[in-house]
Amino acid sequence: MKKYMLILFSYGGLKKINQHLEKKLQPKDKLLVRALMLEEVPKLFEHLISDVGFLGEQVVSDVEDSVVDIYQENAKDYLEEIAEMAAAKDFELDKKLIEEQELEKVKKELKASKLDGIFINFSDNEFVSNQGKEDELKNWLKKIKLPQDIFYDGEKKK
Amino acid sequence: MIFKYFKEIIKYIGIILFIILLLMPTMSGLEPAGQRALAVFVLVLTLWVTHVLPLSVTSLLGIALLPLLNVMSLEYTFSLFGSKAIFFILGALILASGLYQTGLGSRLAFKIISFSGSSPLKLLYGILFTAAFLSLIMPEHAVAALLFPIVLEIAVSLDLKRLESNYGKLLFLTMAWGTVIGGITTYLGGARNLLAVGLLEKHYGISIGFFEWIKYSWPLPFLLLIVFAVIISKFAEIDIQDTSRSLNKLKAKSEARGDLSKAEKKLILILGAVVGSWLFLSNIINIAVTALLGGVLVVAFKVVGWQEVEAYVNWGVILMYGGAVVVASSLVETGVTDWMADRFFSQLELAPFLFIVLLAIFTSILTEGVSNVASVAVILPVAFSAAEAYSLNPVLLTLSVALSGGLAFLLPMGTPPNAIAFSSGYYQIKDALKWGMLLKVIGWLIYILVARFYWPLIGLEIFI
Repeated sequence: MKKYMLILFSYGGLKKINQHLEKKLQPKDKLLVRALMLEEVPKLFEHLISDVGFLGEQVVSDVEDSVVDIYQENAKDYLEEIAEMAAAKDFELDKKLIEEQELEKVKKELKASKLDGIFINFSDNEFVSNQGKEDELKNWLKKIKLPQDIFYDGEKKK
Repeated sequence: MIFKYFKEIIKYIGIILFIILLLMPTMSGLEPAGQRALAVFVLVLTLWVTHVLPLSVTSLLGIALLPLLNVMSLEYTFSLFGSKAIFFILGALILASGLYQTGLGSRLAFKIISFSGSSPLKLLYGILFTAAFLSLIMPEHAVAALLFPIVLEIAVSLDLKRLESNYGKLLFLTMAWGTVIGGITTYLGGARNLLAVGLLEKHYGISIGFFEWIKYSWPLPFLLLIVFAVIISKFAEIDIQDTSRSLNKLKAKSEARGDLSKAEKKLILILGAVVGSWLFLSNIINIAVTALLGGVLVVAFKVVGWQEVEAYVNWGVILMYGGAVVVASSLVETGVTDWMADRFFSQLELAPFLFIVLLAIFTSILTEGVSNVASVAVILPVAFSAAEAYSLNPVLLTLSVALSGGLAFLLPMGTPPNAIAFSSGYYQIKDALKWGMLLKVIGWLIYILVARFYWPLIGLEIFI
């Protein structure tokens, strides 16, 4: 019986993530899913205001809110989807939505959980993901010894 | 990543060139002030392209350097900021804030899209034509911002998966490109159009009226919209069968808005009067004055409060436009454009029409990586040099640069509608490249046809 963790920064290309999980997970294995709830998209805000001379902060905030809303909705939908998959494939599931500022907790959990591997879906699109938070985890992951399958929007990093 | 390194290299090249131009002996045929103006232009161009500083701050740097380096007097430099184009843009932005804040813009969008029927293709057409139509009356940025939540809602209600659903990709690309195509048609869709005309007026004393611009521009967006609609219907893969679920939702939302609010009614009257004046009275009342009066009326009749206007308008944009006018004008004032005409363009053995086509293509490539305002501000003074060397019609050159400068289809950094659509996470850059490149090439062909056959037909000749 093996134990894995899936961390989601991106909700793009989830079909490929699911295919990967199906290959890796055996019945009775345990999967911890930590789905990140985006709260802001700093790169998008900065780009629209400074780089391309977009309209005022109110309009940019409206756009950012729409991005964050859809992101959070995608996170909730995916947790429902993965619960169905767990029931069908007979693996144990522990799923949680996590706030951005709870990333520290996830790191602690990663250390304490004695995992056999970790899967992470990052994003290449800096306008739909808080790249600062992604970088924080990437830097931390370099320091720990744990088999890692890293994806970018569903595409596995070679 | 390659783009990042490219920008770094450009940045250093620009700074080094700036220093060299300041320190080296004056080039023959150029005044010392002209050489310093050229140095400032190169530096500002570099910073606009590389985004080392926010666009507006780069503009301020340009405005500060010109009197500091004794290119132009302090009073004259600052007075260039007071161009008609800047005040038109200011008034138009306040008017557009009314459309955005009162919800009249999104009401219009809901109404038009919900007429589109339940087939996926018709829904895409609905989004395309709504985006293009709204971009005739308000900035394309604002149209993309108000359509974005509507299109997201469609994607969610149809349960389209990010990066997996081809229809999801089409929805957002259609939204972005509809605004981009529509935005070149009038002065309201993209302020770069008016910036270009402002520069034309400064250099040649020739102006293009509101209606006159549409008379020249319309075939390009019209044909591009048709081409894009054909691409969607014939070549794009639509991987869903029915969109009635999302359409019902949109209709319900549209009905839930109820009747027009008082503010919306007042705004319709003000907009009607303003557009009427732009179209029919521009000989009596300058379009910039009408735009400002419209802006005043919007606040005076409490369509929107001043605080709402302030939250809507990015005042940095005004600085950015002002700086672009000042820096570009300094090249004309100090004889740099004449010098370039003598030194470079008169030596080139290019057919004049080929030159115009290449200029338009170059502008449309540059605008993919640089703000389209910056592209126009950078290229137009150079184009004016060529106009003198080849005796080309400057109006035609202005249109060529401004219209091509608006057609950014490929990259999110080219224009805000692309950035907004990309922030949906429903498509990757390679998806935009696939269809955007095709649209771009077709856009060049349409431009060539328009410049070669349509413009001369309505009296706009290639040569003066």
